[in-house]
Parts: sequence; C-alpha cells; structure tokens
Amino acid sequence: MARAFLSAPSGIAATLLLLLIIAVGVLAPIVWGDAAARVDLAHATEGPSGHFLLGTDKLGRDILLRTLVATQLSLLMALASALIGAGLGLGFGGLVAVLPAPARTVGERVIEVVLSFPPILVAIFFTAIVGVGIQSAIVATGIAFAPSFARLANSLARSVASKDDIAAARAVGIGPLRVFTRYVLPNIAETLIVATSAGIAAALIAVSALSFLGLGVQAPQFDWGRTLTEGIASFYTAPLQALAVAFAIGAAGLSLGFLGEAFAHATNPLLWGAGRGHAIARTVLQQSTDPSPRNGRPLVLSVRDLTVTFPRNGGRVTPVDSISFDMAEGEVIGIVGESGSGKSLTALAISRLVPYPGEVSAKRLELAGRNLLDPNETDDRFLALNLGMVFQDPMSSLNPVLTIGTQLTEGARVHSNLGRREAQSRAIARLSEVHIPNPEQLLSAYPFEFSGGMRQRSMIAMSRMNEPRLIIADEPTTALDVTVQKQIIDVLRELNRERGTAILLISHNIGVVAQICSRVIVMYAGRVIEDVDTRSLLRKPAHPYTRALIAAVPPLGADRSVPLTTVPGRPPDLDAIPSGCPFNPRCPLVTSRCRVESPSLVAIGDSHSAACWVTAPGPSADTPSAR
Amino acid sequence: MLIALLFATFMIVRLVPGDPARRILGSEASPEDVQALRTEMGLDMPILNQFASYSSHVFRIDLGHSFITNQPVAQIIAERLPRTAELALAALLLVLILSIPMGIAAGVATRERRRPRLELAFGALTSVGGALPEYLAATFLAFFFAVFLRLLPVAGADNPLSVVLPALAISIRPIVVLARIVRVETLNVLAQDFIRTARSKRLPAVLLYGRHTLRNVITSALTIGGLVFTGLLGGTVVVENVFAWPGLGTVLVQAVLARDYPVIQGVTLFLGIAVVVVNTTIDLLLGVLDPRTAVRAQ
Repeated sequence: MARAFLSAPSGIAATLLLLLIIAVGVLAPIVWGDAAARVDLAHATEGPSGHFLLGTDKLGRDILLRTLVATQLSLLMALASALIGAGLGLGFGGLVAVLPAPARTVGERVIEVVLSFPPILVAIFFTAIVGVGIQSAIVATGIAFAPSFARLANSLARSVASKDDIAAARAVGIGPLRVFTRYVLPNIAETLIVATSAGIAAALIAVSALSFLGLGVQAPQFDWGRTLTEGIASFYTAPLQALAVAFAIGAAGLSLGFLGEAFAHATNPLLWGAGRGHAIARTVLQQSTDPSPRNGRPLVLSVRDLTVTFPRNGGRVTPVDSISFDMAEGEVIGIVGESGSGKSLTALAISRLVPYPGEVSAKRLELAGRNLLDPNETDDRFLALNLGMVFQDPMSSLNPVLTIGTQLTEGARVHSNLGRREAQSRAIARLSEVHIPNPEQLLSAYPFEFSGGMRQRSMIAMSRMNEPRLIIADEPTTALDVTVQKQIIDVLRELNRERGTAILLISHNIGVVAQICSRVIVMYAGRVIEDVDTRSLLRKPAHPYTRALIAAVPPLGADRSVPLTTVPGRPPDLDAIPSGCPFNPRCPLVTSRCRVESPSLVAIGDSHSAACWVTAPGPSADTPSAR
Repeated sequence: MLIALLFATFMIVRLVPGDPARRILGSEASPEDVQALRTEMGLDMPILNQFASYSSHVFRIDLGHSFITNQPVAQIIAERLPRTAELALAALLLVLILSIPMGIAAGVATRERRRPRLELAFGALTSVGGALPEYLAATFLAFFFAVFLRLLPVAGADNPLSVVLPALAISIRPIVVLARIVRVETLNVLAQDFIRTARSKRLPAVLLYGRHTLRNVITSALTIGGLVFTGLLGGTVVVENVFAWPGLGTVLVQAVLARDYPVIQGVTLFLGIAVVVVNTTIDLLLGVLDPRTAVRAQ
C-alpha cells in the first residue's frame, strides 16, 4: 500500500523534497555552521549578491546559510515533540479504551474537552509554566498534541478492543493494562506510527510558532521560527529573510504533511471511496420513429426498447436491456424481479432520475403522449405535474431536518404556483386521503417523529400533491412490517379507484404485486421475460422464473425475521450475462437451445406473452415485443 | 468545566519549577524580598486555601495586578479584548462566508466523481492552504500586500484597513479546512435517498441545494469542523504578534516572556472561557439546526 502512493508522481515529489530537507538538516550545520553564525557588520542588510545569494541580515549574516543551518534544530525539535505527544497520547488514550465503562466515558470526555482547546494555546500555557527555551518548547508542543493522539489511539484501541479474542481475554479476567499491552498495542501500532509521522508536520509548525513568538529557541541559537522573527523585525527593509524562512517552513510542513496524509490514505481503505450517489444522468436523445398505437384507453406511458447502460471496467454494462410496454390511463401495472433485474432502474429511467454516469436510450419513451427523452418537450414542470414518485425506505427518503409540511408543500408551491396557505390546505387534503389522522398538526412534525407506515403514507401524499396521472412506486412496502404493507397497498388501491391515478408498482415480491395490479411485467437480467395479466399469472404462469418467484412468495403473516425462500441460484452479474436465455443456468427446464439462442417475448394468449423456448415456443424470433 | 479552567490557571504558578517568587524576582533578590512576595502571593498558605482565595477573587473579577506595570489584570483584558474580538470576528466572518459556499459548490460540481480534474485541483489547493500556518500566511500576505504592493498597513491597528491582513492570515487555513469538510459532507448528503426524492419533485436548484442539502451539510460540518472555530482563537493569538496587533495575544506572549504570572493567569483563563463559550454556541446551534439532536437533548 505504501508502494501505491510512492509510485504516484506527487508522492515521489514529496518524498524527494523531504529527503532533500533531511539531508540539509544533517549536513548544513557541519558544512556551514560557522559561516552562518559569522557576524559581518560591513555587509549588514545587503540585498542578494553573488556572495550572499539571498543577502544578509542586519548583523551581516548570510540569510540562505542561516535558513539552511536552522533546518536541523527545527526538525529535531519537531521530531522530539511529536514523539512526546504520541507517547503521552497513546498511553492515555489507549489505556482509557480498555478501562471499564464508567471510567472510560470519563476519560474520553476529558480527551474531548482538552482537544477543544487550540494546541498553540495549550503550548503557550505550558511554556508559561516550564519557562522559555528549547526543551520547554519541545515539551509544551508535545503536550499540546497529546490530546489528538489520545483520541486517535482511543478510537483505534476501542475498535480493536471490541474484537472477539480481546473480549475473550477480558472474560477470563486479564486486567486492563495487560489487555492493552498484549492485545491492543500490537494491533494499533502500525496506524499510530503513521499518525506520528503525520504529527511531525503539525509539530514542526507549532514548535516553529513558539520560537517565532520568542517562547522557544533563544539567541544565539536559532531555528526557523527564531530566524523568522528576526526577519519580520526588518520586514520593510529586507523582506527576503522572512520570506526565505517562511518558504522553508512551508515546504517542510507541506512535504511532511503530504506524506503523512498519503500514508493515512494508503492504510485506511475507508478513505478510498469518497463520492458516490445519485443524480440525473445524461440522456441520449433518440427521437421516436413509429407512432404509438392507442387502441382503447389513451396511454399514460409508452415504452419501446428502453435501455440503460453504465460504463464499467472500460466497457459498458446494460442493466436495462430493450424493454417495452404500454400503460393505459388509470391502469395499475407491476414490475417484479429480484434485485439486479433492472426494475428499479427502469423506474428511474422513466422518471429521468438515473444516476450519473448512466445513459438512457429508447425508441420511444412517452409520458401522456409527450417525449420524455426531450427535456424541451417534457420540462421539470411537466414532470412534476404528471409524474409522482414513491420510494422504498421512507426513513431515508424523507429529509430528516425538514418538516413534513415543508416537504409536502414545496413541490406544489413551485410547480402548481400555490401560495403557502393553499399549499398547506392541499397537503392536509392529501394526508387525509391516505388516512393520516389530524393532518393539520402533523405538518409541523419531522419525519423521525412518525412511524414507518405514517412516513410511507406521507410519501404517497407527497407524490399526489400535484395530482399526477402516474405514480411510480419503487418498492413502497419493502421496508415495512407485513400488516403495514397491506395498509399501504390498500391506500394505493384506493387512490387508483377513487382518483383514477395510474400506478406503476415496482417490487421484488410477486405476492404484493398480484394483490393490486391488473398486469404484471416480470424482469430478469434487464429484460422482460413475461408480461401477463394477473389472472393468468396466478393460474398458468409461463416462464420458469415466474413460477419460481410465485413459489418464493412468503405466506401472508409470515415472520419477516425468517429468511425468505428464494429462487435457487443467483441472478447473473451484469458483466457476465450468460449467452442464450439469461435464466438458463438456474432453469429446471433448460434445453440445449436455451444455452445458445436468446428467446424473444412471444404472445401465448390474450394479454400474455413470455420469452421461453420451452413454455412459450413462438413462431419466429422477431415477434414484436409486449402485447 | 469552568472549575477545571480555574484550577488549571491556578496551577500555572504552583507548577513552576522551584520557587515562583524567586523566579519572578531573579537570583539577585534578597531573601527578605522573596519572602515578602511569597506572602503577598499567598504561597505560604495551604494549597486548598490558596485555590479558594484565588477562586473567590476570580469570581469578584479581581484578577490581581501585573507584576510589571501594576495595572489591574481585569483592566488589561478589558482594554485589549475589543481588538482581539474584532480580529477574531472578522476572521470568523471570512470563514463562514467563504468556506461553506466554496465547499458546497465544489461538492455539487464533483458529485459522483464528475469533473475529476476539478476535484484534483481543489484537493491540491486545499492541501497547500491547509498546511499553511497562520504566521506563514501572515508573512506571505504582509509581503505581498504591504511590502510589495504597499496597499495595506503591515503593523499596528491605527488604520481601519489594518484588520484586513491579520484577519485573512488567521482565516486562510480554517477556510480551506472547513471547505474540504463541507465538500465531503456535501457529497455524502447528495448521495442520500432524500435528495433523490427532492429531485423527483423537480425542485429548482435553489431549493435542492439551498434547502435540502445546505442544512444537512451545515449540521454535519459543524459537528466535525467545530474545532476550526476554536482554532481561530489560537490563530488570533499568534497572528497578533506578527502584526503587532494590540490584543490579548500580544499581551499573553509578553507576559510569558516577563513571567508576569497574574497576567498569564488572567488571559489564559479568559481565553479558556472563550473556547468553552464557542463550543457551547456550536452545540446550541446544532440543536437549532437539527431537530433530532434537540429531541435527544430534552
């Protein structure tokens, strides 16, 4: 791991700089020690010249040489105080961690309190006691940094102390001190050494600050801090001295600090993966070519060959692969599949919320007859007014620091141009629709004051604020208890019946979906493998995967703590989707054809189609998909 | 907490190696003078009595007199405090108005590993800035603005513009440190589910970042970055000495050099109280910003 950062260009640069500084620190006093101390009043306060590269100070001493010679004392002082700080901090923080609970809490509190005082103030405080001079500056700086070492040692030791072997050691009555030296110390030593090396940078800066304030090194000895003070005194006439020393401290501090940080980074895998999350992805525009067939009720949603791809390992993976379906106004359709089947990404693609850097393309993607792939045709307002979203875990999906009222009303205020009062009364009406009692009072409540079921009801009420034609509910019941699940399903059903809102329900649980949907789309490895009305789904499911999903439905009222029966085997990795039918490695009915050729969705009855060579052998491979 | 501070400042004199009175008066002083000072300082009394007497004096805002100028310490603090407060508050203001918007903007721009080059530049810049201690920042700033450009005064506090350089010098490191924290917190918040919910409501950027992101970011940044604010006090003490700023920091350093113990005790006690006040303010602010902590506290 150290090799990893040492091979980076910046790591090499910092290492070389540090080696140079150390070499100067070792050699400069031997080579130039006398020259740097030589007073030459005839050449006082001169500018840079061939003889004095950076000029001279007011006693005619060579500024460059003094800066170089001062390196040794500065580095040694920094090293000594970092070691003192690490030693004190390790002793206190580490021991505190293995003490019994009440003493540990007190000890940790003490560390926190002392830590809240700026190190430089603590250092000045201690120089006031021990007096000024080199040794006292070292001790004072060491003490000033002890609390931060103590906290680090404490948290490291605690994470180690909770491990099994240490718990066992304590259980057989081994005392805190022994636990600490035998079990904790070896485990945290490496990280602490790294932290100490990083601490040298901070110590260098602090100890130089003390000298700079006149509290550390006293004349005629000199370190960087002392030299800086002398430079500041003649700043207007000869600024070079102060600047040269300032650069020296800065360069040393930076290279030491950089190495320490790089070490810490290389040894702490937790720091590697910063920055993950969701956002609106780039959408690939692809104008629809064929007009939508609108027989019967008008379509609220029309999807043709919707595909979502992500870059991965230099190539691209396709978690949603050319899926197609239509949805009429007021219809309730379910999409089911295991995690990784692409169902949630399908929902996000329709709502234009696919996380970066995913790309969405489709032959057609229309909401209420308007092209979702063209942001000009379907702007934010259009989406806000026509599409509502309900997400899985309402605890994490509602903002913890904003009131329910704010979160419900803000969308309507922006997009329906409602005033505060109007938006509030609409929010109250929506909350009543989902059977939340006393909605007036709940507007000023925060999400954490609600139960899971109440939060999910609020979420549904929120999605209804602008009375959209379509609500996409992504696993709306998954995080909830079974009884609450049923209530949420009832609320959705009621919304559909009484308000005519179309609902696209995404779930891994085919049982939940069958309760409410008139039609079910089954997805596997990013493809639709069966598209079936609910009655046929329950009576004669065609695809072996669908059958397995139905078999895996837990009986109503089953204990949620018991692991669910699942479909045997695991869904394929997006990097390695099997050739032929993607389900073939897990399929009980697999034939040789399934391993080679991928089946298309073919109609096997009224409003029932499936993609399976065995149970749905179609006339040809190029039958139009979905209905 | 305050009692601990009181005790710590009291112990300054007690912990001085050897005889404090002898140290103050120097080795040439006569034994009679030393004994007289011991009596005056109460060093003859049992330690608990000394502490009780010290505490009761402190509570009556009687911090003793300076050994050097014989001025009451409380008066010295009262004279110097406004200058230090002016500097610290100017620095605080700079930190708040610069670091939070910078961190959030950087977080929004580099979310989900977008713009890796910007992320790299931000990281490099803040690493350098974060490693630059106040007194070096002060040196460079003074050189550039006062010596090179001759725009701003380099020392003293006579000119209203005098506060600019010291305040900048104090705040550069806290600004970049806090901006780094804010960026990371912004990335964390933007990855939360509730941000996806907010996006699904198609909220304009002002609401998305200003309302849904900002408050969560500030809450967590304050929790982590609280030390930055007490650090401003330490920075002020150092930087005052660079710019010959007539505040508590210069007084403290002079007092340490002159072994003027009453002044040291008074000023450190006062600065310690200031640190406690800053920390308490942050805790209170967190309670206001995050309803969950408010409930926990009740």
